[in-house]
Amino acid sequence: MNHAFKRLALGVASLVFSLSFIAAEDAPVIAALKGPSGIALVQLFENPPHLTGNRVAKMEAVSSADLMVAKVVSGEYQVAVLPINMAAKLRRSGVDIELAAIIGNGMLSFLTNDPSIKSLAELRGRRIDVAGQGATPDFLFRRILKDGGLDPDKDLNLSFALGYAEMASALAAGSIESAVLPEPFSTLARMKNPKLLSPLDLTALWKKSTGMSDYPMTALVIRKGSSITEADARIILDAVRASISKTLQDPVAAGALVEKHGLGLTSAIAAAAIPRCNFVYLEAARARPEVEALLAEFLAAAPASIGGALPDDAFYASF
Amino acid sequence: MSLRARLGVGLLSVAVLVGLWHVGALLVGKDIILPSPLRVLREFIAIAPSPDFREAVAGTFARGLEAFAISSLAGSVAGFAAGRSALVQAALSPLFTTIRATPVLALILLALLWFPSGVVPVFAAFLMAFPVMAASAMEGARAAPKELLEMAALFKVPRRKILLEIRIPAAFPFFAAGARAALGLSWKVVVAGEVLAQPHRALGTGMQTSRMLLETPRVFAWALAAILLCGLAEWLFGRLVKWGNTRGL
Amino acid sequence: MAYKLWDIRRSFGGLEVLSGVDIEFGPTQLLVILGPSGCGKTTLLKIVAGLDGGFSGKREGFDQSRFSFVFQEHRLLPWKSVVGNALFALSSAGMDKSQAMTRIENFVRLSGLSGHENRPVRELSGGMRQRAALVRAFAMPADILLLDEAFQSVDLKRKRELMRLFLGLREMERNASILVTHDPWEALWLADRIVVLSDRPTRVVDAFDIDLPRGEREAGMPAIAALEMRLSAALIGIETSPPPC
Repeated sequence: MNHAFKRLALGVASLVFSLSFIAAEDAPVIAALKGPSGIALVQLFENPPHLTGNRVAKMEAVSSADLMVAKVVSGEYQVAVLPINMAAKLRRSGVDIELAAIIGNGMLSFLTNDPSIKSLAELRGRRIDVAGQGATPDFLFRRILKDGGLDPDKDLNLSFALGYAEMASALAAGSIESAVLPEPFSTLARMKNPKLLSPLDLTALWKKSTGMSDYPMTALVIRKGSSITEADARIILDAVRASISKTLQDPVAAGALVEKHGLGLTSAIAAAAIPRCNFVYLEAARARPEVEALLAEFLAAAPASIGGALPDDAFYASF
Repeated sequence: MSLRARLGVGLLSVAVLVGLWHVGALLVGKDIILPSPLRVLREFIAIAPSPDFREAVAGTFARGLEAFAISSLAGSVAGFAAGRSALVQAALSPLFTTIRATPVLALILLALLWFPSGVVPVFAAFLMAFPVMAASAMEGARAAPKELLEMAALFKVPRRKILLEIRIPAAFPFFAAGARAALGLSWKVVVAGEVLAQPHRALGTGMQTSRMLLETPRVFAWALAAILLCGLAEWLFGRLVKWGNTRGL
Repeated sequence: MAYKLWDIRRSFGGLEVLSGVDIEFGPTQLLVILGPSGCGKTTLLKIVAGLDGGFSGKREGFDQSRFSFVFQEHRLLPWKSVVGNALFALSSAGMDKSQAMTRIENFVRLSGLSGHENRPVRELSGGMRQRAALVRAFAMPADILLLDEAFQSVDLKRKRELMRLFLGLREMERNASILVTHDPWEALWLADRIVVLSDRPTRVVDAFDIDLPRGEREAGMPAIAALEMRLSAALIGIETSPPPC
């Protein structure tokens, strides 16, 4: 008798569980990467947007871009934050995503332990660690070097051996001399070693090379044909815009929320990194020239990395 | 060797290792690369009372236990059956070979796509530990001495009793060895899986988070917690085996 | 005679092992089958126990018989106690536990194993293990007790003690027992009836009863001398007969 009762309870419980699962299936999922890109959306984690049809968006924080890509492909995530090159590659691979906006512009820093480095010329013959092989740091830096008269493969030793955290640690410890790092690692490295120098302004050098005042890094994409309607998209994008603005206005409060929602940074570090993360809100159409300028570097160096060609017109959505 | 002597030597060797570590840390000179044992201990004491830490310990412990329980149970049954039946062995053999040949990391990355992040470490650990347990159980299934089986047949002892009172007890030392190996493996892979999958309430997640924040002493402190947990589990396991021995296994 | 085996022949492959063996013994007799190694004594035991059907000849009186066994290497489950081993063997005897326990405890006492009966067998000494094997064998209610070289693996002093114990246990539970051995002194000391087997192809060379009380069966005593000589003759006959070609 007791046994049968337990069985029944288990059956009911699993039914209820699966029902709730089905119910939750309908709510669109907005996924942010842990780290700076996620910070931009932190206000949505605190107050998930209310969408059409009485649905509330589900917020997810994801630890790696590869996992993000997998879940976008599988359709589990309808709205996602991705590095712009990955978004382009997905588009060319036939995944029906649209670029809604660029929410993070260039946040790479060149940091060094060596005071004798004052310009690109002093980099000749040195080893520079670069965080992000085959990604924006790699191709952007190569372009800058080439335009500065240096052959990235012959005149320098670019090393991609270390992981981001290890690179930042080694830089702060002085085990490596110089590195190109994204946020939050550059802020972290500087916090660990305040004596680190930043003699080169990569954004300015990029502008010198391409005429573009900045370069995009973080994209917000929306899966077409998913449960997100046009109206939903507008609601979400308004929320994102508001989130970015609020975060920039009060980094300390935002930092606390970042820690609260487990977005990968402590509140103090998030607050310190926010001003350096270069958060922006650029609609796709407006951001297009800068996106294409950056992707052109990918195309020149390794076409396969973004799928062989620039994304088509329909990639750049307007809501 | 007496228990006291063994404990003494054990402690001494731990002390030597810690001493070497300390010297290494002094030589390197940078906490962010190799923190000293004292520094790590201080970090450990700093994080130990926090509820996050305790939840992480509980979470990892639960996962490790789960992985061990499932893999040792499934491994025992599957391995024993394979040991007794050539058909079962033929059926399971390709499965074992495939699992053994696949690198752990590949399994974890695949699991990330299929399972929620809390389950990934358990799944990966199960895949690693299951074949180990099954191999031992298979050997154990064949370990019953022939003369004893013959004696039981002569006395017309029913088959079920033969299974329960000869085959399984004869297999026990093999089960124990397999389970011990499975236990150690389960822990390692659970923590590794946690570092990659980063579920809530996990020591691995703590390690990874600290790493991302360049807090190397804290990474070591989390690792220390994982080692202590593993040590605790192995000790408990040892007691369990001893208890089994007293019960005539 | 209650039990009879007539003209038993058994071959394995092309090799003829038992070549027309006749054996008979009574329901409470201790029969010792004496023969050289390899002449098929164990095969004969298996045929008696009904475990080997590949023979020709007749087997009479064994239909409802229950068997028990003592082996050369004790074959006790090391992780079980003396009591546990006996209970294990009694699994098919259809007794309830208290009945079984009473029987077992009786034999434990007689064997001098009191106080050790609940320890795992692996903790017991060699001599104790042999005694435990006897306890198990007697605890199993049987019409025929088969002993395959059961006293071989112990040293001389312990052998005497063990044989004495065996005889003592037999007083409590007198059934038919068949001991197979190649030691003539075991035969002389224990048997109610001796059957001497030849080398392969095996036949019965001699068979006789011994009526001497066991107290008079020590070496050097006159009564046993005649039997000794008879046995020697039979065994020498075996030794001097031409080897089978």
